[in-house]
Amino acid sequence: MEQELERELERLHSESWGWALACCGRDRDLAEEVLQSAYLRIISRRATFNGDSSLRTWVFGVIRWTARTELRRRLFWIRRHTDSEGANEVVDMSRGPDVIAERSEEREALIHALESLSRRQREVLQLVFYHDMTIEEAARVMKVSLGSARTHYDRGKKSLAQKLEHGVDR
Amino acid sequence: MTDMNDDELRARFSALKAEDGRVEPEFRSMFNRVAQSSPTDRSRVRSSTRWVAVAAAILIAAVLLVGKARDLRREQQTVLAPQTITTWESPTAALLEPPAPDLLAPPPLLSSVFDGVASPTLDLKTD
Repeated sequence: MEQELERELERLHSESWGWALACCGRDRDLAEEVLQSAYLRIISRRATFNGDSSLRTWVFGVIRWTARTELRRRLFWIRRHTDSEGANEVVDMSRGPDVIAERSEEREALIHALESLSRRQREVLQLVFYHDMTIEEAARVMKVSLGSARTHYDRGKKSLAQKLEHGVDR
Repeated sequence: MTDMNDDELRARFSALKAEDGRVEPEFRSMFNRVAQSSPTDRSRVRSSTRWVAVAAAILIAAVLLVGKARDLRREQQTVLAPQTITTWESPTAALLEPPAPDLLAPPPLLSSVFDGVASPTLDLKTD
């Protein structure tokens, strides 16, 4: 049973990595930490799969939850230990200079355009276009209704296309 | 209207995916790290569960003991109640009994009027 789960996680690893990156503002270190924590939650049975959705949808849900918890925890820690100016600075570290330097122009444009969208729009587009999920599956991962996911998808796609064609400032 | 269609968007995302794949951490090493930390985590969960169980047992025992003690006290009170009511005396009852009650008693009014007076002898004429 555990070996089977391990094999499944290995099969989904690339997808999970891409999703973890998307959930962590493309910060590699944070994404790695989040993915590791998500795996730990899964194999220590702190997160249990009840078969309501596909395994991939469930794993993505665990990664999303872990990333949000970790980001919230970091933000809370930063707010406690630094002033508000410092907090903004550290939050922006999720897109550090080393990360930005590596981006190709097209990739940079896409990431920049995605960052300008709302979180839910970004998530649904990532799930549909990057992970080839249906909107219904994306709604399950995001824990929103199908109608809400559709709205985020339509608005997000329109906005993303405009931004890619004309730049983010438009 | 926008000219960019779904296929173009998909192509852009595919390029992003390919670049993400180049910096992907190896599954095996990550999973091994997780597997190593997992038993500790599990044992931590187990030990915390054990502590919770012990605390719950102590709490239940304390509640039972208190309940039992209360019942016992109630039983004793019901047994002693008739005796104590009949023999009970107020703690201030002694104050109501003066040491020399005769001194404080009001003098009898009638007797004071005739005190020391000899009863007159009446001569009754029998004629």
